[in-house]
Amino acid sequence: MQTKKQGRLAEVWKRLKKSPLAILGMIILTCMVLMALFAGVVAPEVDGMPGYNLQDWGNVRQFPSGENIMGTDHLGRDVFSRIAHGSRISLMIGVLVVTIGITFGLAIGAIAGYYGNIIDNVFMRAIDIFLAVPSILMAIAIVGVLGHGIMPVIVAVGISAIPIYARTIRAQVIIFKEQEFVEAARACGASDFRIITRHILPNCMAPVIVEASMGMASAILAGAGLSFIGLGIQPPVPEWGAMLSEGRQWMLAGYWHLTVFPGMMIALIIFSFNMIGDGLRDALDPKLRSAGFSKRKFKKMQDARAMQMMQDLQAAAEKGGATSNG
Amino acid sequence: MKKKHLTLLMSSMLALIIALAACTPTQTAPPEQPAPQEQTQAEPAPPGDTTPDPSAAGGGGLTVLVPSLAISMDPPQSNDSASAEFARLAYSTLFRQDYDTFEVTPELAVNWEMSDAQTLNIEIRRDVYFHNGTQLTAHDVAFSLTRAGDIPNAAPILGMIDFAEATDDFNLTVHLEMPFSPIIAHLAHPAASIVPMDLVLSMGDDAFAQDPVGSGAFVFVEHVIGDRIEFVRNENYFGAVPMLETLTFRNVPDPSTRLIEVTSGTADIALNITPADVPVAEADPNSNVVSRLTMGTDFIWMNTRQPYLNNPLVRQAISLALDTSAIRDLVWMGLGGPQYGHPVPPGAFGYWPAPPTRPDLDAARALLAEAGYADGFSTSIWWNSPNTLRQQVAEMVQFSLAQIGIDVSIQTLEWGAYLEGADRGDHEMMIIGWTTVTGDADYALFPLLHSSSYGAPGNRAFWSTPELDALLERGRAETDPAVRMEIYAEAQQIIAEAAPLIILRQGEIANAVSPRVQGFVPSPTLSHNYAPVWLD
Repeated sequence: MQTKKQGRLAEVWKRLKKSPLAILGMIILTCMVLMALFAGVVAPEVDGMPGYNLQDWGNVRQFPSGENIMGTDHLGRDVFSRIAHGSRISLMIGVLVVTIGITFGLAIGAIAGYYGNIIDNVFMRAIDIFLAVPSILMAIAIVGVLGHGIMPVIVAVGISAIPIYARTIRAQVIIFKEQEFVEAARACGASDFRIITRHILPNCMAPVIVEASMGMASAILAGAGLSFIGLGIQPPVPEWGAMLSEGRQWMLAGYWHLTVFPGMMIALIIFSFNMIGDGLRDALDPKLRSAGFSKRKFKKMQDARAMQMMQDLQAAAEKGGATSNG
Repeated sequence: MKKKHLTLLMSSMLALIIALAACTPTQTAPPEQPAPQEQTQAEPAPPGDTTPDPSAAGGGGLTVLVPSLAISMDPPQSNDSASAEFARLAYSTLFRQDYDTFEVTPELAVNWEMSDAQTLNIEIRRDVYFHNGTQLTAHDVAFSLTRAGDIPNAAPILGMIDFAEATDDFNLTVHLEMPFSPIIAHLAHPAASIVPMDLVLSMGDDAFAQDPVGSGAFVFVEHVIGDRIEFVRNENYFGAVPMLETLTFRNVPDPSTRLIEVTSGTADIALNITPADVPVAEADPNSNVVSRLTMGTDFIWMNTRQPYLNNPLVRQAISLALDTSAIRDLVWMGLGGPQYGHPVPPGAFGYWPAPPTRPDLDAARALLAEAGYADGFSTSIWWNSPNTLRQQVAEMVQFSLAQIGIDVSIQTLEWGAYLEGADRGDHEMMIIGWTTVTGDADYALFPLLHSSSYGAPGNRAFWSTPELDALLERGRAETDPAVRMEIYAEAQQIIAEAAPLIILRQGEIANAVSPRVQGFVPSPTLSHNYAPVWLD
């Protein structure tokens, strides 16, 4: 069992590392994680004041320099220190949101898919209602009820992420529950709980892992969006979306570094999670056809090349025909 | 192979974006230098020449970009500045306040006298007609004032009116519920606008608010909710007929977008631009910055019902730890004037110049130690999202108070929850503003610091003393201005010593105005008058 698992992981890794974009994504993500881990070293606490909130009122809105590599903000705080501490917030939002989404989505999807009929209908119609409301609107409404803070944001975005996981898992469970090995387990007298947790769910994990990786990106984006419109994070916590929002008022005045750096970080982390997710999709199940952006692009390029080749062949054939005629 | 191409494409796009971003300062920098020369060329009219040339008649249409439109077009129904501004243009009032001297001058009134402390007799003009052609009589005035006196939203301004009655077509008597000396200033407020009695009674309040008829310099044409309000000039106006043919208020909530519309020439005036954009507007040849100090005051309430803040030594320590001039410089980019100790703005009647408080951390620490909190304590400050300027104030307060050992947590609330919580007294510190719309100390002090105003009416420090209460009541009843000055000076000293609030600054409004607009003078109470404006 153990060796087989390792064999599978190694196989996935072998296929994953063939995708340069996924590798690029992993490199970016590793940098982000390192930044989050060492934020306290980069910008240490001084006299009980966190490193991201050290204000220097005589040194405001400085452009990037050797002293402050990303410049200083409108209250004289070092932008890089804030970015570094902000990576903790973004990664925490991503991980916790996906955890909430998977935990509840797994339970709902598995129960609905396994039992079918009325239970399936009740759960899935409830999920349909959730899905009918745009997830960001749902998150805004939940934050409105729960109040401001990181935890309300995580809960809000987490709840709005549940339906996607529930649907993914339900679809997988429905496929697997009719398979022979499940029949066999049932014949041996295994309980429903055991069948679901030991036999069906481990087989459903591939699309869930892909979904989770993409889900990280959308959770971070949703968290940044909520902070940008002033819901969520309490100042002075340096959430990237909030930093972007704070920097916005200085855009006309030309202080580009207050918006470009947090905006770039949001773009990079989302890019990295999406690329990793794309790579994982291909690596985990080569049969799964990706509908992702990159895949479609590749398909088009392949089509174009095939067309080119056919045209070349045709031209060659015509040329060949012409010479033979001559 | 193909994947490599895409990687290359992606990374080159990223590089391009970064390169473009890095270019921005060099692109914005050059226009800043030649701008001053262009600006002087674009202004042929000498600064002193503000009298319009009647033959030129500088008409045309003026487009003003506003942060919000009137909530109600029926003047007493809403006490927000956009509604007040609408009323100022479309309606007339008995009196009008001069923007510079804050002296009250008659508008509809001709003669007036207080026959006793609670009775005011007024004679009005005989040449005033509503926009629908009917004559404005004392019956309309009496009806309007009695009605406004009973509407809750107008209570702070006109609640003291018991009722008004017309003695003949052009004379009326206003009866007050109590002796109230600043009544003339209150009758100059747009909430006291005169509405046509017959029309309001036949249409009903709600229908009238949709299709209002006044007697002001501008005639209401159309209100597209959330988008714009349009006026044409009143050709039969009893005062100087405006030179503008049409006037349009367009709702543009984002301040930077308002400015961009003016600099790109699609609008003429952008009201209330954000402090960060003032240098941008100044540098642009297509916009001038017209700013002025207002009757507004920005301050921090300290709720005296909360632990620690109930101790005057702690409140004094907090106000000594805050560098309000640094806050003014960083948050408001230097806009606004210095103001200390009490909420009466300089320029208002009864203003007493309190001694400036200079930040002194050692003295603040000593006061805290004296109060028994040498090791500090934890408290909180509220700000209302999305007012980012207040967020910056909160962050600076948090940072400053950390220096004397006070740990402040920042709490963000929506405007509705903000006021509700503050009315209940749930807050510890909160950042807010107040505009003394009548220009009289009574309007700054009575609603904010009298014991009858705790909570919703305005006193969110929940602080007063019997001595201060008595002074504020005397100030209302006293008719001799010199005596009132003394009363209010004493009241302001009491407030400055007890420090239930920390004054951050006197307000200032900055507007971006196209160089072709002439004669625009912002109002210190934010109900700007467009009647004297003309276009080059």
